[in-house]
Amino acid sequence: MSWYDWLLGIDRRWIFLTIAIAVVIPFFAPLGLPVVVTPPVQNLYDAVEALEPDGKPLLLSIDYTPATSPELEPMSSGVLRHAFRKDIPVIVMTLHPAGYGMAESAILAAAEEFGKEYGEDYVFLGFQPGTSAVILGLGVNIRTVFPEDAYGTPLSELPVMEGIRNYDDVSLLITFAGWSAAEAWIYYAHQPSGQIVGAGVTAVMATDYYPYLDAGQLVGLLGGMRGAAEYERLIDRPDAGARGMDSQSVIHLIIILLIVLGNAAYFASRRARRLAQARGEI
Amino acid sequence: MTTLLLATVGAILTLCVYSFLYKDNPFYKFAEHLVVGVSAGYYLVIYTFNFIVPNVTDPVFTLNLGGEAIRLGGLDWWMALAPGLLGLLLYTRFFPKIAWIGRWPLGIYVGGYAGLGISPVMQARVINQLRAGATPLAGTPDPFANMTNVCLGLVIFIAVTYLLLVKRQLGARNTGAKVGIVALAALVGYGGYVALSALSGAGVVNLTNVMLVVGLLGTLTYFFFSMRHTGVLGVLARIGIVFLMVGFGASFGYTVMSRISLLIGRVGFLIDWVGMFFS
Repeated sequence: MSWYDWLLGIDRRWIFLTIAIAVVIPFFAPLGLPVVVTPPVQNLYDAVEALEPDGKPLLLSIDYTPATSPELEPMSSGVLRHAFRKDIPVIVMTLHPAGYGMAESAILAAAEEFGKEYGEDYVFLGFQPGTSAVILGLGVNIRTVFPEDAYGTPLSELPVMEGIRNYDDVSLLITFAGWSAAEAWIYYAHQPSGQIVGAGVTAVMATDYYPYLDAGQLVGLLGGMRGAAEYERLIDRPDAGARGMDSQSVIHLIIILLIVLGNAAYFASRRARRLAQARGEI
Repeated sequence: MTTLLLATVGAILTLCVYSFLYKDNPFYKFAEHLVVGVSAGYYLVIYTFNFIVPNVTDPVFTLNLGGEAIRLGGLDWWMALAPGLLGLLLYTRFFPKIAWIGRWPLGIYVGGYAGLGISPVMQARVINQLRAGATPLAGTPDPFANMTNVCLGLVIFIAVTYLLLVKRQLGARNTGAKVGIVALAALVGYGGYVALSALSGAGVVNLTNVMLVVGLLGTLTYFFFSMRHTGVLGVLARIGIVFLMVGFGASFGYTVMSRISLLIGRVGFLIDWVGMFFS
């Protein structure tokens, strides 16, 4: 059997096993590969950095589900830590029913780390269905969309919500989304109200959002685990994003190698078949 | 203890799902059905108590139960009742004779959302994108200059290699000559990169914006089917194909990164779970 026939006929489970080993090894033997910060991530960091302590709150919409949390959870945690470190008030909400638990766990962990007090420094509004109607409603009056926070406390009783009526009273809006919620925020918050919007999206969605970035409709963009790792580097707090990037890099190298080998084997087999046909063997 | 128990359930279910990579089996089927069932139950409860109860049943029935929230027959009462009834009409699709009634709420829904969405979506996806496409080709700072110049240097290297090695077949029979030609092409590509960097640095030309405009025109031309793609139109369409392929390549790379991230997340969870037994 020729090398290309062997390669083209290899059981794909060997590839799965190779990938699994390549993911696991960097967890125990970190390579410490450098993470270079790209302009879209730097821009989002700068936008948060420019906010005034104890000024207008930062609105975070944590719109991801457990399925996309490995990419988006490190982003939301990074931004929350950055905001709390700078004493920026934070309002958290979600447009996805499965985002409720994600949002709650992210904000509780960050608040505990920085000793922030619920109602004084941050608030969790919970979930409201009806994506576009919710976003448009927030531009009119937050209290008509969320009369109470996630735990049933009227917003009027929460000091952090004092004087907060609509987007005019919010400094920056950042959405972390594994679906089209980020586009909805651009359509219904940025376009009609001029709200400054930043986004953290899964890597598979990132290329769709670069046009919005270039057109100034997004102030910054975090794309996938790499975006999270870059943000963690900027806030000097390596966590899940940075931890996964070594595995990510190793697997990308393996996949590139497999693509090259697969193509080489395909072209070699095609050439051998043509030669055999020319000789009249097949 | 509760954390360990929940993590163990999660870990076992994760392993059940990954067992599919070996072959389809009952453990995978169990996990698959569990996810579907739990998700359906979760969404039903969330939507019921966050949407139907506060927006429909509470306003409509509170008064009947002695509440005082909303006046019976008032505008608020009708505003809660009417959408609730329209929602119920959707279920007429289960009865073929009156299934046509189900089109009314759908029509209202689609019409309402079209009205809400047309203006902002048009602004975001068409007007602002057109505005961003009208970009200056010189005299503006270019944050992506280095990346653009590296890409263009690579394009020069590949083009020179192709022209000299494949098209002209210079040194095609001699390995040493082939290597020399590739080295020469690399030198030319590097020279191109240096020259382009000097031009970008001096603000003579914004190459990123030039590429944006060329790529935009080329891609639009590729999808313009009213004229035959020959001459200038053909060249532009071919350039468009190149940009489309680069775009698809970037999407593919990002998709791989996304899927691998999910695997990394799960593997990290499994490693943390094992660590719980030793901590």
